[in-house]
Amino acid sequence: MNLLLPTKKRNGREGLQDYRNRKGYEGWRLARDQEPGKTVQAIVDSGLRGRGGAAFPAGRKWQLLSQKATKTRFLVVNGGEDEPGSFKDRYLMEHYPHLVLEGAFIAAFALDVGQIFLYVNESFDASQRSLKEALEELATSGLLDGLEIKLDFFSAPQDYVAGEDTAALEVLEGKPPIPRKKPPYPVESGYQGCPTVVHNVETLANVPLIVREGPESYRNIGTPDSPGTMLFYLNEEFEHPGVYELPFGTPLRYLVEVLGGGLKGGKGIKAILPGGPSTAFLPGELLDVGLEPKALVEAGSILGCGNVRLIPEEACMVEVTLEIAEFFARESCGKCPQCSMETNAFVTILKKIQAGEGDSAMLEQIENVANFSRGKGDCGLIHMAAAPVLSAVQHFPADFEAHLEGRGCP
Amino acid sequence: MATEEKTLILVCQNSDCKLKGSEEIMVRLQEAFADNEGIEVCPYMCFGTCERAPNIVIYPQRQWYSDVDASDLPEIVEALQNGSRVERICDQVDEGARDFIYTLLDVGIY
Ligand SMILES: Cc1cc2nc3c(=O)[nH]c(=O)nc-3n(C[C@H](O)[C@H](O)[C@H](O)COP(=O)(O)O)c2cc1C
Ligand code: FES
Repeated sequence: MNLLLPTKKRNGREGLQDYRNRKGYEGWRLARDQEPGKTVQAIVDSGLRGRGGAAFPAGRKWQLLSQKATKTRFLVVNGGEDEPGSFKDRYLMEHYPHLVLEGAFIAAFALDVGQIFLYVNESFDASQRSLKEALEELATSGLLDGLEIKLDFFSAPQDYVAGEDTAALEVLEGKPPIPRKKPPYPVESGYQGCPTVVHNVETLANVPLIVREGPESYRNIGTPDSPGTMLFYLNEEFEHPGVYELPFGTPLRYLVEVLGGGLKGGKGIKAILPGGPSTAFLPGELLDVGLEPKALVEAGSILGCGNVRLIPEEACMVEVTLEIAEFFARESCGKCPQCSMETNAFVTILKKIQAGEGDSAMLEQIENVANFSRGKGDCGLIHMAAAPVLSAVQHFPADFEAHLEGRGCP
Repeated sequence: MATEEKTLILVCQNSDCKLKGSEEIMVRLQEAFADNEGIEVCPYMCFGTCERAPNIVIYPQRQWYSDVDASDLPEIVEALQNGSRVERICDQVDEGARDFIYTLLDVGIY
């Protein structure tokens, strides 16, 4: 069931005419003709959740922003997508740029935003090109006539934290990508201290449809807690890699077995990393879990940004986890002492375990390190780093014991 | 398995400490104790007290030096040889943070 993408996937960029042939910019026309408050209410009623990883209700951000007295307001379209293995945002920007732009213009109009920043990863040449071409088409289409919303491109650095909303604001202000302390949140004090809403690319891509078809219709798809669909990405380890759009609540098994064709070579599944490296591992048996934020939290992980990875049977969880821990240690920006300490400590501990040094006391320290860091740090990275490590130890103790007993990888 | 009998001088080599000269501090300490088999000078990942960089921890003596300057090194070396400590710059950081790192060192995590 597709809401965002046409059923027949395309290779190149969807041009303006093709987009309009599938009701593109009808939502924009409606939004321009109606009271902005009505558009805001439609987003609130739709139950749309952010697709940038935290599943925060988009309507709440919109309401908060529209209540602000300050009239200088900004919208940031977050196309940083630095998470390893995530491809859905660049897929949208590259192939369906009008979907993203229509969502951004509706949001800006409804929220009385004067300037939109397209914050796109500096390495995504095709996405940048596609968005620019789409904007050129729009400029001559008459669709934006009389509109006083500025739109600027900004290159997002490739550092992982550069996608964090306040780090993105720092970049927009010409500074290095270092997250700010929150509160205040961007809707209170964002770009240049003004109310700013930061949205993931995919979140905005849902907006045109909600405005056009109405929130009730949107809520008919997905689950009551998470209406609509989400884009999931399966990497090259699958028989059929690619981006798939599915209603929230679809069993993971359907995605990875029916659509993805399972792991190449029919390999068995040891572990599930449901939403990217910052999510907790689940045991491979849990394939029937629903792809939905709430169901994944109940199962012990999170949905993250839909970048599903399956760990094959023969993999050693110590090695897989060490690789993830090294990523976070490398990407920790160094601003917060606890994060530097934590991310480095995980690497040190896992390397010792890998080398067969130490005993179960060392294993216990993993939890100690995570507890010591809980609630500290200015951004979410500090918690992202802990989830995969803690869950690996919890669900796959035999792999860790094998290393500690000097037997190496199981 | 922890730390055998040796004294460890752990010098943080993470970003803040490095920015404030911890590489040079480590090299100077390594030179000072090059002939001393009972003392090993090692890099450490990060003590989590970066606001007081550069940090040095001496273990198992449990001495934590912060805001260390190269000019403090002769005193630190001398104190270690005499079995004393340089009170002026010792144990200035939060006790909870110190205890936490000592717990890690107790099980050999360094
Ligand atoms: C370390 C870190 C990296 C992040 N990277 C991204 C990113 O690349 N893209 C993104 O949309 N959100 C990213 N986020 C989440 C953003 O901070 C923010 O929540 C999101 O852009 C809000 O959009 P949404 O409400 O539409 O989901 C990141 C968060 C953290 C803590
Ligand atoms: S950088 Fe040295 S204690 Fe963190």
